[in-house]
Amino acid sequence: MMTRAQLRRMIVNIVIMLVLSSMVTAMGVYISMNKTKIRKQDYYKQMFSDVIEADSYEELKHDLVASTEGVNHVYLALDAEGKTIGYIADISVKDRDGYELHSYVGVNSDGSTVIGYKRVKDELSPMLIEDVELRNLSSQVMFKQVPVALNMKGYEEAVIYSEYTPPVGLNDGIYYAQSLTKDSKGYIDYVEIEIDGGRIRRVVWDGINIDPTTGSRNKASLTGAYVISGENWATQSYNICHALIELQDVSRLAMKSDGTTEIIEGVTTDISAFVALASECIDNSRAGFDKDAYISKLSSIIESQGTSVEYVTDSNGFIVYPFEDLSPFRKENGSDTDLMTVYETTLTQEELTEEEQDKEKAITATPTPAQTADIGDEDGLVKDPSDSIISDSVDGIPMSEVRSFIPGLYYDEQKSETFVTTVNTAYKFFREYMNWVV
Amino acid sequence: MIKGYFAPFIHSEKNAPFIYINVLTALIPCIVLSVVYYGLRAAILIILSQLLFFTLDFAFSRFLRPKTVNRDYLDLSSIISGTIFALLLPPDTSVFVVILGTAFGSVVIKQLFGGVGSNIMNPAIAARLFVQLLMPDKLLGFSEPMTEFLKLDSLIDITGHKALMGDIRNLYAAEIIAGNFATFIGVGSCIMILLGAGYLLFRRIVRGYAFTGYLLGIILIYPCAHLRAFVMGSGPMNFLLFILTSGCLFIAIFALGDFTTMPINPLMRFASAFICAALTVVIYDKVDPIIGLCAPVLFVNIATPAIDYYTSSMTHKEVKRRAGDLK
Repeated sequence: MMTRAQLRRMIVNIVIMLVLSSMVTAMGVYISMNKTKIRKQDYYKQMFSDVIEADSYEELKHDLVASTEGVNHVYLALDAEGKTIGYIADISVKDRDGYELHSYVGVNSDGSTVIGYKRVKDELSPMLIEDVELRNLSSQVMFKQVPVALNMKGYEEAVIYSEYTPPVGLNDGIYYAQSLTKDSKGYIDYVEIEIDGGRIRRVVWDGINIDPTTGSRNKASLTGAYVISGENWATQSYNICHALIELQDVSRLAMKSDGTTEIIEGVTTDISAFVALASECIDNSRAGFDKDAYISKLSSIIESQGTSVEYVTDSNGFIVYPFEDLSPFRKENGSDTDLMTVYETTLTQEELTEEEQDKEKAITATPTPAQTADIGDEDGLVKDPSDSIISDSVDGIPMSEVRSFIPGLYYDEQKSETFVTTVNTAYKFFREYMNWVV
Repeated sequence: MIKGYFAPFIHSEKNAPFIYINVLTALIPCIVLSVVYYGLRAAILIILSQLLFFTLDFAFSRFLRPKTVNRDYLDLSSIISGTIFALLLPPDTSVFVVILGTAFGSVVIKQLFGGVGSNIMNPAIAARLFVQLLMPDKLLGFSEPMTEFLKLDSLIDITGHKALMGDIRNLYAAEIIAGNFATFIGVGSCIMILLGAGYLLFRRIVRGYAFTGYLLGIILIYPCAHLRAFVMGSGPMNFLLFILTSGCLFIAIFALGDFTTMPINPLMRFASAFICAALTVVIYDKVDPIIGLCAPVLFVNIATPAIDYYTSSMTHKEVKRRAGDLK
């Protein structure tokens, strides 16, 4: 063993090494700390800017991150003033065969809506999914509220056999209508409705701005550029669209004379534009005047005004044209406020009269739901609780909590399910983190 | 007087415990750095690894070793193995990985081969390679230094903690020198490793043959193996980053400086380290970095008994015996 002198010398050496190491470490920390901060932000920007574009990012330190299965990390996306504009959840999920999908899921500041997605591609056993397939899936959830579920047969049947019957005479297809004028903030409202099997299956309500540098109203509301009282506009838009899918008839939205409704939870905004455009879409469906025909007719009207349609079409294919002069839509013997829809401009005066009579008949033929007055409760849409979809669940989330349905990849259920699980894992974290329940 | 002690026997002030304590002292800079950068979890991982290595070695030597040898021998080399093993782990590693690695390193690599001084492979390096090959998904917790000093949840996270490891090429020079970037617990700072190396050389605990051979091997082989990168212009920077950030300096000092598992002959020690460096440079980009660092060391370790057999100094009696064997 060691002698006492050796031991004494060793203790001195150890103390010297400890002091020296501490000094060198302290110097190292001092000279590198600021550089680390800069480098970290550069790195975060490189990783996250295509999920959520922000001025800076910061890792969220919370016990829930470690305790939520599938969540590796969560990052805050901050604006120049340090305000949170969204969150990025770093999520790893495994498919049924044990292959992994590692992704960043971006959600808005209240954690309710998906606003970005990116695959990390650093998995040890990567899930076999093509980029184009992931792009397809991510586009399906983009700007949709979480949690998400795949469109399942059971769900569709539950809706079909609910007590709310759709208006009669609807033709299948995609129908579209947009405001002829802009609102005070330069937005032109549009509604798109998809009819399948004679029922309303999908509804979109958004607004496009005449200023091409401003995004859609939906996007603007998520980034805080478009603010209204109550829930953000995107959430309210989603709620009203969801309600129409459930109620199947615009008249059941119970719009009051001031343009608001009391029967849809979370909707406080003026829905008159939505009701008018959705009604136009329903009329277009009855007439078989689909989106392509609508756009084509609208284009020809704009051309007749002396404006090139290409000039007023934005990168997403929307016609951003607020009519200054509404003369193409005025009826021959009507008043100044008595305007035709785009479809009605295709008809002659005689056809127009017949069309109005047909419309009246159709409305009379639509059966009135027995409890239309009680439509305040969303859960009341299914007549028999045993038929309820609430008993079902996706990723451990009750179906009643599911806010969006996506078609997924029709040819590969497993890939679609794994992707949905990724998004829902983010939802589960934010639900707990924000103590937020749909 | 020497009955019951381990061979080789030499009359020197530098006995085995003296050498081991000096090596531990040389590891202090890396330990200090790891605790400052990664906080409590790094300290726990290092202490746990040391304790486990020491306890397992002691228990096995106590209960399985023949009574003819000194079974109460205080083996400080197990503490060194535990330290080196822990310093080569990512900071967010679970204790279960440490338990498995130390059990393999101590029992399988060291005790089953006869205990201290008889092991063929470096127990710490073998243990690190073992856990890497067995559960690579549990060794991805490369969190940034100086972020969470009191973080402990990763220690019991059996699912494996994942953290981002940024592109090393984006680092600033100050960060590289200070070791302030996401890497293994104790191998980030070249300054700290060289501080330890300087101490060992100053105290004449190691002679530097292996270190020189390894470094020369990297300097000569790296440009040849990455000729295209050197022609394109990115080679010199990658070369510098490899030397300063990969942890190869740590391997050169603390893994190849081992007396038991490296050749005794200085020239062979130099040559083995050179070959180890060459293998590292060739495979480093093709496999996981830690495999690229550890596998060549074990390859050289395995070859050491054969190298020693043919190159170590022999007595006349031994020469005659070998000649008889060959007839």
